[in-house]
Amino acid sequence: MPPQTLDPINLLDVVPDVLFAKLITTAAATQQQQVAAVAGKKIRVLSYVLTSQGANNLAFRSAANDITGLLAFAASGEKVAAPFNPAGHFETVAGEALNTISSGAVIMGGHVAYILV
Amino acid sequence: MSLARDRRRGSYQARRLFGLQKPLGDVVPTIQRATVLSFDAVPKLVAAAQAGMRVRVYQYELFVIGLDVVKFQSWDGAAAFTDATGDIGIDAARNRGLPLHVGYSPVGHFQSLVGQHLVLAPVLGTVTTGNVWYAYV
Repeated sequence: MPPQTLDPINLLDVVPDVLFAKLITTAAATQQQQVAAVAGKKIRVLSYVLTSQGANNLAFRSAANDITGLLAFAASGEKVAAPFNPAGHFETVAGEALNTISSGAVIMGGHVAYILV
Repeated sequence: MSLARDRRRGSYQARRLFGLQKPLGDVVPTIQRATVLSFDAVPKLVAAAQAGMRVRVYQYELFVIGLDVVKFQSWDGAAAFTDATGDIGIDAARNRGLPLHVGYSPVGHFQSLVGQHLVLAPVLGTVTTGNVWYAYV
């Protein structure tokens, strides 16, 4: 039987309208908006990377409600890289912004890929 | 089950999952690799602009000698830089040998603005090297 070659599947066609945003927290232990709310739409996070410039705990939020547990960063250079998940890691409530809340006044940065559903 | 039938089944399930109307395509963007090297706090070109296209990054890794903070930016070729990522802190002391490796995502991690270059902008200017896998989309 001759060897068969799998046809490549373009996930850009499977996952429609992927959007990207930078993740930034300023040096303030407050809630900060990462992706603005879209009326009637949930923000579903497919992947993200986040690095810290100091010890800090951070959670993602839908508006003012936590939708993840605290992600703990011990020191500068600590990171979390959540790989692509076509079903999503977490999502906001429809019509609410994707926010973060930090425990410390630490600058953090990264990026996020998401879809509106 | 034949390969063709298996593929049709996968296509149907994926379309049902995402509510997609059009069939799956066979075109995968041609992914290229760029090696980056920064040694001061001046932005370094990762991928040159192509008219009407974005530079989308699917995977990257950054190595640093010491500690640095970098970010990827979209550059119009003149004075305008637009952040594509936040400040990414990398510290060789934390993860020796592989300070920051962000694996492949089939949908990409971030992208430039349409028709703009993608650059790596070091904030501290520590010697940083790495690889970036990207495609024009």
